[in-house]
Amino acid sequence: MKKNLFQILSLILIFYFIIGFILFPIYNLSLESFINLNNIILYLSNPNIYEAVLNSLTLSILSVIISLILGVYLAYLVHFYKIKLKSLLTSFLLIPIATPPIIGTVAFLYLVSDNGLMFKFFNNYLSFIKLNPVQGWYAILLIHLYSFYPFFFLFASASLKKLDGNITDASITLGASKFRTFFKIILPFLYPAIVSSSIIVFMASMASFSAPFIFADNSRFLTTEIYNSKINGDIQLSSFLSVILTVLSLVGLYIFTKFRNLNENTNTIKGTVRVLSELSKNKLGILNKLFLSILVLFITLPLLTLLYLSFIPEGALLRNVFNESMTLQNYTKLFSEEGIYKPFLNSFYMALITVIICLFLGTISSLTISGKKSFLNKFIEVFISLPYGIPGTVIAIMLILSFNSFNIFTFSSLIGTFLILPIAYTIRNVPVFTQSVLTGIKNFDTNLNEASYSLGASKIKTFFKITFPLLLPSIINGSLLVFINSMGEFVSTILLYTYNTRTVSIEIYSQLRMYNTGIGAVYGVLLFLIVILTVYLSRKYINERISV
Amino acid sequence: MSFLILEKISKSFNGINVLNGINLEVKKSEFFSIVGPSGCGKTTLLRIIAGLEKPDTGRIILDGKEITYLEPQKRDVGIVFQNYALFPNMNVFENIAYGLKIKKFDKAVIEKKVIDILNKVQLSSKINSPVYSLSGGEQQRVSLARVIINEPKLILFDEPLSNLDYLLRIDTRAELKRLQHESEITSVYVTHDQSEALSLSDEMVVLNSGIIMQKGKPTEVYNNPANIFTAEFISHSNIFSKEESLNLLNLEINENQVTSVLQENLRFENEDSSDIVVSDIQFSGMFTEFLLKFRDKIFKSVIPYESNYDVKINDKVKLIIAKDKFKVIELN
Ligand SMILES: Nc1ncnc2c1ncn2[C@@H]1O[C@H](COP(=O)(O)OP(=O)(O)OP(=O)(O)O)[C@@H](O)[C@H]1O
Ligand SMILES: [Mg+2]
Repeated sequence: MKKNLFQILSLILIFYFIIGFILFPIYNLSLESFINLNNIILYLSNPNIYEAVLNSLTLSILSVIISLILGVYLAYLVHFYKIKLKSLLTSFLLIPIATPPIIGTVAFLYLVSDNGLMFKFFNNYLSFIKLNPVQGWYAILLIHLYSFYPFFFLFASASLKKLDGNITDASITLGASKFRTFFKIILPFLYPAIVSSSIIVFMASMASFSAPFIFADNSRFLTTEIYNSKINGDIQLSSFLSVILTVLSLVGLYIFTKFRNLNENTNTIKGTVRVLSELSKNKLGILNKLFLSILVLFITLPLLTLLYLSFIPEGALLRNVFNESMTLQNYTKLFSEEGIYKPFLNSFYMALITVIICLFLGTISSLTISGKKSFLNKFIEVFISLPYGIPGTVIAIMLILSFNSFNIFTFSSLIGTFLILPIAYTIRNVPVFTQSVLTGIKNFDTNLNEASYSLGASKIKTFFKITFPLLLPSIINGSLLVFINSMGEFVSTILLYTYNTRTVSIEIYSQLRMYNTGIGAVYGVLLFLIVILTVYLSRKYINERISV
Repeated sequence: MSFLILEKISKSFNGINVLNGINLEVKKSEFFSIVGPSGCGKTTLLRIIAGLEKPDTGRIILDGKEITYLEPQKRDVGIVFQNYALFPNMNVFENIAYGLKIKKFDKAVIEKKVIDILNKVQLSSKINSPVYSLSGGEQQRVSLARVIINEPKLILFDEPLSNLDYLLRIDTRAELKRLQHESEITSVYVTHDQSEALSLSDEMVVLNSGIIMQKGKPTEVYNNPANIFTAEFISHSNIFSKEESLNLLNLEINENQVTSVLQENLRFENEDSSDIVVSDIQFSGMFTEFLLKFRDKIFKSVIPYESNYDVKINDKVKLIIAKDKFKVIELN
């Protein structure tokens, strides 16, 4: 089939993006990391590097394990038990997924560090209980648990909806305890969901920067070491570590994918499924009730801490805050002082630019990919999604290496400009957007298009009357996802920003460095509200669309 | 002494009564059926017997012990499900051995028992097959074997044959009966298919909207329906109102009665002055079904196939029914 002008232009743009902003940076990174072989030998005898590798891997595996246990258990409870206000609880349990990592991390710091509110609270009111501050590994793991269990919860819940209630009943009437039924029947059924979420959590933990950066004390992790060596000016070391981090993540991905393939067919079985009705579910025991209450506290306390501190004048952590009265002064500052609202505007504009580029690039890419099955399209699919597996820290290093001077893709240097940040966000988010639209395309019936053609509509008309409106929910969903990801981005931002282009996330962090809590908390609260509002609106909009 | 006794079992969901004071008695080793239309509460009743659902009121007594609130694990009651409910992550052997493993039988014993039971259900060659590779009929036999192997006190069948196609259903029905007979395990069998209930059961009850309409042996229920519902649902009988009885059967009954006549007992012959018209003739192999129209009402007659009926569509006919084929049903 001959390609039309639109398709040719799309291809040129897609290739400009893939070559200029994905392959060229990867090439530069590889080049830089091996530029001086003597240094490599030096690195290889440096125990710090081994420590970082080991720590990153350990952290990721531990994160997978603890999030798996919590997430799957929660999905089990929610599916098999009667719980009051279940849908509210479910939304609640998903809050952390929408919380930008830097906000979660800072909120935990305000709460559980040695100056944190939890301490002050116990000292003031329950001084007979001695608390230890949560620090280092414990704090990082706690934050990872907070941010990552929702993946397991989501995936496992979705799978459980497809589990035939008769199967668990069969197990029970054959004499199996609930415990045995869980381990022998339910858990194996959840295997694919568990592997999929393990992949996500493993990759995210490997790439995690905020929590180790703020809580790591003396432990080294790959992401923080990349940052440190860049700040110390050893760009080859940071490139070398970036390569190691990326390779390890991809190897992990590969291994997990092997696990997934091990167990492909087991869950496909014919026959109708008995859906568990809410009425015939079991009542929740006291221990589980307690457990759920503690969990809700675990989810809300960090956010309540932020909210509370946003009403307390600066420097609250250094004082005994509980005697102070709340004021709105932090909020009024936000609207009156340019230095304070500028980061917000920066973040907003950058997120907006990212969304626009992704919208454009992602839509043409997904339309191309979903078109004909050809080598070219497969190539595009693979390389467009590649950055999804590359940690943000590494993307930043690649961009620094590639666009710090004249080059044939952008001509002038981009480092230090406003634009470099949306570019970094775009590279990471085009896969997110493309995936969302591709899912939308997969779900809709191509027969509709054919029906429309056969009714005499032209191709263009079909696109705008049928295809586009049908894809709109996934396009909007994708855009909102990209917007959320970009508004709170911290990991690559911290390597790429300048004073003039600083974003909310950077500001939250630097406030923290200066022991300021008020404005930081205000930023956190606002960012969180924006994200939640966006999620809420997108859900509402999409639900309405679907019900029409 | 009955082996399974249900006393005044009631259950409602969301304030809607699904079961209304069910009383049942099943004898040891009996094959007992519950037959009723979709949604009448059959599955709910079975789930209550198995302990998967708690009744709102009433008692269940099994083998002399009250089990109303006993956990399902401890009841020793097996279920064969309509959709088989095999464990998808296990092969045939593991599925069948599941219950024995829980009871901590010896490995060798388990193996022997599984092989025996697989022989009985004619699936020996599939012992190591994953269950999703089996056909529907094979899956159903595995699910039966998985229950029988534990020799439970009671087996509950929830429309186990309804997902199979016609011929397989007839075959499996016979096999089921044979296996139940050999194992002598007391069975409660639920179905919406009256012919299944009639052919399998020692005793049966007819259930409608959570109420038991009639109990008895299959032939009794079939021949002597106690109410219009049973007459229509079980034997597909023709029902004649007081006026119709008088006009067509020459039978005098009172206001609170109707007459029921089995389709195979309804005979007729040409009579040009009659008000009954042959509205359709459906040939179905062994039998021919005649639809006879009287005013707005259709009566059915089923007659063994003969090559030359002298009746054609639109012919006028009168009914000829032997007096002893009328069953008078009291309305209440
Ligand atoms: N757990 C439940 N929650 C709410 N309603 C239920 C539940 N279980 C059953 N019902 C309702 O109770 C009624 C009887 O259901 P049941 O499954 O017992 O019928 P059935 O006779 O087995 O029907 P079928 O022949 O279609 O299987 C139905 O109206 C059903 O919707
Ligand atoms: Mg049923």
